[in-house]
Amino acid sequence: MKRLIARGTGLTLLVAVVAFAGSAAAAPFSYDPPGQLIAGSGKGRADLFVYAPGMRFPIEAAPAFANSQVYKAGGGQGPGGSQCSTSNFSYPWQDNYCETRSWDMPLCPSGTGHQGQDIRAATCDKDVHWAVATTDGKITNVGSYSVYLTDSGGTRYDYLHMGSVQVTVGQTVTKGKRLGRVSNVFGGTPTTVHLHFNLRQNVSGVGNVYVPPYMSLIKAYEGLVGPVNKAPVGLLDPVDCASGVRGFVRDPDALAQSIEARLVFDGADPKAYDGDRLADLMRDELCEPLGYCNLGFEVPVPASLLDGAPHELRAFGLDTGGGPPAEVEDSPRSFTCGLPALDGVRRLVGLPDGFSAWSFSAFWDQVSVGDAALAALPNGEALPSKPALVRSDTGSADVWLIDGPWRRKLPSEAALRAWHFDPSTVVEWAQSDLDALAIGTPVRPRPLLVKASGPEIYLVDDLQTGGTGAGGGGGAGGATATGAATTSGTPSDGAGAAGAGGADSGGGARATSTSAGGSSDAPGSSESAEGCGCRLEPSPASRGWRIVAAAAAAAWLVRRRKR
Amino acid sequence: MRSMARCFIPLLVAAAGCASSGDAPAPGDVTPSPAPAALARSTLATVSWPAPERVDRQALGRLRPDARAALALAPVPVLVPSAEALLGSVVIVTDEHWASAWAQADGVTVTVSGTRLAHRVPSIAPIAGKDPVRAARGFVTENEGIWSATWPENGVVYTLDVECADPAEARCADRAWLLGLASELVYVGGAATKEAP
Repeated sequence: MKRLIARGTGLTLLVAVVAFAGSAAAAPFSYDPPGQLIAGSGKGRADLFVYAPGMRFPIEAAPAFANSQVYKAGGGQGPGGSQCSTSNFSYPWQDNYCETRSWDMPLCPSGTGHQGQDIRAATCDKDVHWAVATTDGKITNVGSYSVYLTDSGGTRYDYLHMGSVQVTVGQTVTKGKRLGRVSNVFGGTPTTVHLHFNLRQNVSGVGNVYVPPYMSLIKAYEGLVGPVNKAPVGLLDPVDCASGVRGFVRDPDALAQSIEARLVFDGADPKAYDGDRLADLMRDELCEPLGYCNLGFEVPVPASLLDGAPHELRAFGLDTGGGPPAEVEDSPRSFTCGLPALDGVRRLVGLPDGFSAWSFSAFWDQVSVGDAALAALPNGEALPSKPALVRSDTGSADVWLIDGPWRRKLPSEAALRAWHFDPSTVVEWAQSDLDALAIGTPVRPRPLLVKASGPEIYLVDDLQTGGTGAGGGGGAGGATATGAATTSGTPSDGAGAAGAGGADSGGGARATSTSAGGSSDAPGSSESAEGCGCRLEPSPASRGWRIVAAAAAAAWLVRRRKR
Repeated sequence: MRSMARCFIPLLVAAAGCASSGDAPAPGDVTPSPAPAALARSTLATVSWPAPERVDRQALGRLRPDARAALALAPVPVLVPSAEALLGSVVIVTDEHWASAWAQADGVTVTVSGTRLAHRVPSIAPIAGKDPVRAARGFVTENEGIWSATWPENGVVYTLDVECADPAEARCADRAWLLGLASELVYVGGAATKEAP
């Protein structure tokens, strides 16, 4: 918490990056958040509401500097120095609405405070810089040191301490009309050279009160010097080896829009990344406070980093305004994740076409293992040359991966993304066609490829029981495999002992025990399933039928894709 | 972590929140509004026009002709100071939803305005006025030596400002002169009583 405070203070989230063309004051415009007063100068009002949208900035030319007259150099409570100190004529702007005063102010947190915003012109010379009409309207007051401009909606714009006043009461003015010069007029005792600017508005349920002018002035100033591009913000959650990397990003310039997040592993350079991703996942906790929910990102920990060594992750939001990527709060994060237990079977991935067709990534999906560990994994059937995704024509949202004679359910949207599947490639099948395929284990939440010293790359997957061969119950259930399945096939031959199993296979979620190749009594009856919840489907009884079914499935796929 | 996240979200919203020092606002001081400018709405009050016989004929008669003429365009009942010296300098300015009377004399500038248009600000809950002003409760404050009051009357909202040429002079030393002036404001007409003059 303390760290957040400290870091947050330094954030100055609303950083403007605008240079003044042709101006000596080439520093980029920036401003402290509304409500953040100079320390010790009172309690501000953090109010982003723009009470006077569309108003022009009240000083004719930039630069201008909104800050305190009392708590800055030359002020009665300031650090000493002159009102002309260069520190008074620099960014960032500082809000001083509600700055400590004894004056009653119903909208200030303390109930008292400063009514408006003090603004210095480009220099501290008096009677040089023009103050101008912020809007079309009528002059309703010219006092000894005040001018009021009132617009058609009744909002009043107060200009105090001007000299060389150019308008009279009742005069109609247009936006930009010169009203007077920024000065220090204040009865018999001059004040510092500045424009005190108020907004007064009849607020429903309150009355005609002084409302915060700061955000309206910022918007108006942006209109004068060009739009201010604000850097994205966000948050990086702690890295969890099991559930992965989560966080959210948001661009203050695009409040109701998902933006892209960039994740950089083990590198300080935000260019050294492995692809950007649209952060559009629902984060419930953001809906109310931010007014938009789809700002989240979530990815698994890259498999190549599951090595027991410490790694660092940095997260950035990509600026819709073209600014540099902005690192989010709590980034970087460090993490150390070990290699998960390799359970199941290994399925040969065709190289290079299969690897490419499945959109596998050596960084995200692949771990290096020793030859012995690889050899300990029983061989399964080779992975299909490319993924085929289908859903039922019944309107069900379930997405199935066609894996030989099996249909395997994608367990979640996160899994769809983790597998790099493109949702637009999902084709619709008649439910009866889907029913013709046996239900295999659900697709694992993420792909895990293994590579030892040889060139081969394998996918570690569940054994699909009740496969090729006749008869036998197959498919033990269970969400987590606990032991290496052994098959009759040798680990190195890739012959796919997964063909074992029988027609009456159980639809296990994941094999939990050995399945003797070709044995019709392979484990996997429904009773043995651990938390499967899958529907048991009769399986085609013969290899020939399965081939026909697979061909039919492929034909369907082709036909649907052509539509 | 949860508390940090709670702290951070207001930070994004209000661009202050956790970033604040002890003197800066805490999250929750203001209800964030996701799209502030877009949420602004205006409401138009129904004016309760005083009976024509309540027009102060004496004050009306002392207004300059241009001010009397301007009354016919005032969408709200116009109140003016009753002091002799001020009445002669009154300038009436009107617009579609508001009217304002300005006067200046003896080192003091007075502005009285009334508006029937109110702005609804989602983040601002109703706040009851705490200061008695005329027959209502409103707010009284001082702004750089300018004393000001706002209060409801005739179904609309009025504002009275008093500015002394020398902010240190007695009339601007406290709220007493302002409130006295407020109590002496008189009704001189408006669009609904334009036949009055």
